[in-house]
Amino acid sequence: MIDCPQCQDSLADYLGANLTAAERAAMQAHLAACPACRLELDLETRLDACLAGAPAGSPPPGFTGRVLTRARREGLLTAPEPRWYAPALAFAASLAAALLGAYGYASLAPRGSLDWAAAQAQRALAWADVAVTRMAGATGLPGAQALPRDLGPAEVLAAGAIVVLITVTWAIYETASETT
Amino acid sequence: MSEEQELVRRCVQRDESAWTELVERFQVMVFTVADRMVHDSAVTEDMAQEVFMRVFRNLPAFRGEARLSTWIYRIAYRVCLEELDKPRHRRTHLSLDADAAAGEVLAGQTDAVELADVDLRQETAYWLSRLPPAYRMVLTLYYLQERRYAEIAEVMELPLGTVKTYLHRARRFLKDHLVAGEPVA
Repeated sequence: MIDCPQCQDSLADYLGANLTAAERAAMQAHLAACPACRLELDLETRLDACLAGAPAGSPPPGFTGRVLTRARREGLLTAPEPRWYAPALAFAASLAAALLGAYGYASLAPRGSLDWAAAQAQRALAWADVAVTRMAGATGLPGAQALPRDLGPAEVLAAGAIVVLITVTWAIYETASETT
Repeated sequence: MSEEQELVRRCVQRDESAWTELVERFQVMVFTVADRMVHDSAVTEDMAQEVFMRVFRNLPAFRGEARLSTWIYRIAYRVCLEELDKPRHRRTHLSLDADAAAGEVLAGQTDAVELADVDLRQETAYWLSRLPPAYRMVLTLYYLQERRYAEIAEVMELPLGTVKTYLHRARRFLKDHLVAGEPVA
């Protein structure tokens, strides 16, 4: 059996069906025998109905549109950059850097080491089509053009450097795409 | 992937139709909290807009550990507290501790007071606005969140016992003032 303070402390939970079956039965037994607690229950019931029945907030017409307009103004809803744009810039930068480096090396290096480097670059060329084609597929750039096979050592070295840079750029781009 | 997770994913990808869907799904909830917490129609829309701006800004960090509605309620609560902290809204809230003592006296008078003629809803709204913000939020969420204590505790980042105490005190406060029949200012 519960007393009046216990009963009145539990009235909100009684109305909100937050009591166990045993607690509920104890409340009902007390309320049946106690006029004061029944009056308190009546007040709680009115208060409960008043609070539960309070009108919900009503958004004014056009609210959604104004939220989206503000989001655009604050740069939250700006369309993301086209997928090809960033890697294309990286590609152009890589190409420029590779040509510059190859030109410098061809001007300064002894002939023998150039021949060895050219042989290595020829092997790398086999990967060039793969890398450039995958790059083109991933970015929407025009398809890879056939690379010339009768290049001099300096040009082949430059092509090899380009292949390496393209591959690295492509890998960075793919990694960045996965994380976003 | 649940429908809610899919909506979040599309929002993060800045899919405008997903943003529209999210705003339309939660706008009533946000306006209700703003209305009941601040009681100032002049600022309600600005507050609601601010809530959604923060939602969109922070959605990429939403990990789905709480329900999306719980997370948005939490943001709405913070926006309300910031608004209530502005000078135009600052006023002395009645102390619930002092009121508890009055409640002891008033509790015995319940049967002597006739409430039938009172515009109970108007009176309740007034006294609700005099509650300290945390108590007001607990009461508001109690009815919006289908009386689930656990979710209220999650939104307000309070222990479950504190939520129950706040709710009990807030209801006691309202009952005592309604029973006392004090004039609405």
